[in-house]
Amino acid sequence: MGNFLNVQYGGASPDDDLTLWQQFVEGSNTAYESIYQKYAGELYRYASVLLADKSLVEDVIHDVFTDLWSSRKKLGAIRSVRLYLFSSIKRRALRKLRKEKTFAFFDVDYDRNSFEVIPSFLDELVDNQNKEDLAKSIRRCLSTVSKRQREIIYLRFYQDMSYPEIAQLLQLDQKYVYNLASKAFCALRKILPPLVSVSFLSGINIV
Amino acid sequence: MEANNRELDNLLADKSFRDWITNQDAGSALYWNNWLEQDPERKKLVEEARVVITAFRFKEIKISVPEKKMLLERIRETNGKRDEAKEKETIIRSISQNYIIPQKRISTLSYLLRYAAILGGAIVFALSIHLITGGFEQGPRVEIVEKINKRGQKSTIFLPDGSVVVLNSSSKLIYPEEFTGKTREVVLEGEAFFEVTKSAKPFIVKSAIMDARVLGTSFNMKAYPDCDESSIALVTGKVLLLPADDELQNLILNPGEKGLLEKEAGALVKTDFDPEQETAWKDGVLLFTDLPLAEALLKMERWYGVEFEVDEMPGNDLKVTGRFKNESLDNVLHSIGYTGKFSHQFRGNKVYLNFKK
Repeated sequence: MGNFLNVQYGGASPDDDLTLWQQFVEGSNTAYESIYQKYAGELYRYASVLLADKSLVEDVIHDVFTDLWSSRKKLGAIRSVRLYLFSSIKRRALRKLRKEKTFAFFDVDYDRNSFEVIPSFLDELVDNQNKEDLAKSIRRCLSTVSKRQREIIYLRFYQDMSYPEIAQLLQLDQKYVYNLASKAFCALRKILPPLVSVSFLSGINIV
Repeated sequence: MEANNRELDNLLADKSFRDWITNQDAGSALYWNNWLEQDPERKKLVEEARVVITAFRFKEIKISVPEKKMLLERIRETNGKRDEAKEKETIIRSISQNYIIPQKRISTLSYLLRYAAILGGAIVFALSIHLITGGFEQGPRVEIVEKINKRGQKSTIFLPDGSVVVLNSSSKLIYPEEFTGKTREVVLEGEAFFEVTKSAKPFIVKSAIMDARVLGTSFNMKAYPDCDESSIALVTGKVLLLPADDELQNLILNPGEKGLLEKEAGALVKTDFDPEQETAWKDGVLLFTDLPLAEALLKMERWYGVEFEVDEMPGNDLKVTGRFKNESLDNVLHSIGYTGKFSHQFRGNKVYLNFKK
């Protein structure tokens, strides 16, 4: 297939994390705040797709970190600081969802009445009727993708998690996670043919 | 994951690729355009990737720098208040301890455990009784029933609340004659299929490494002592799984889901299951699906209550697939032996398998 340019963004080496964690558990407020500075951003993003409501998101981050501080003496060794924090956020967010009954949980960003769901490069090419039909078939494909599958895709491509990490976070069997991701890709591949044929008819180059 | 999906997945996992596709990074455009030109097949892949990335636009909210600072302030405040409160608590407690001599209450459970080492097996039973009589509650003395199935035995048990348990071979179920107390507790060693009646009292199945807490439900639970893995496959209802020695983990199962706990790894995970595979046994169906021969023999040993003696296990990885409903062991071995190229002979309680020609 060829070599990809694989650049790794963000996420320092896990060893730094474990050192920080050790210091924090022993009572270092500096280490504790370093962990906050390092992870608050991505945890906030994750919480925001789970909850959508800004104030709830802040509450969740606040609760996770304050609980962390007050229970530091009871904490044992952990394998991954990042996963531990993500899993804490998930747990809290689910509790909030149940209480507040909000429904942001992995909603995909598309408005049912607009044409946003179609990749924008087709905007100028397609007339309104085709757009509507296309939007319908895309929505139909997307509706077969479950919330859990969307979460897996989110964690993989928006949080750069590996499949073993995702499996651990969602408490699912690793093979099962692979299968779910695979099925999601298949569902999305089905959207492509109508898109391609439309662009072919209009004689425009997609790429 | 199949090859096409894996390709797509690898591509999308590359942040620089994602940035290029969403037009957020002019820097690597040169690299990627070049890459694209190298192989015309790649065009399709890029389109598919584009569909994936645009089909899922998650409504992420990013935290701004001042917001991050304010949140930290809020966290510091809460931590400060809590630390203060804790300090006061320790001061008050140490004062009161100077004046009151607390009565040390040894719970009956730790009392039993202390003597477990000395008394061995008998205490395990006593411990089980203890677990059943609601642990730390005082209740009237209740008769404990212990149902043991030897190898080759299967039985149906009716519990005092109307729940039905089909107990598999080489398994044990311990339960009280009456469910007094706030919960209905039983102890399982081995495998059983439960149909639990709905009641306000939670039904708890305790096993060596995992507890299952249910309200009204039907599920298959496997907890053999010689196995490193415990599992529960849920058919109807809802179950809460609690590993015996890990307070931080728990898992809620919905119908169609299966919970697995591995003794070594200690991680509780969820997966799906094939209902026929999990519960065929209770309808008298012996089912093998691509099972390695050694495991198939173990399954048959438990099912029929026999012991296999093999002259020489074949070097190749023989896998067994078959479905036998209420069949005799003789018939099953004839069937499997035909493809597996072995013959069998019954001698007393043992069955000899002959692989050598």
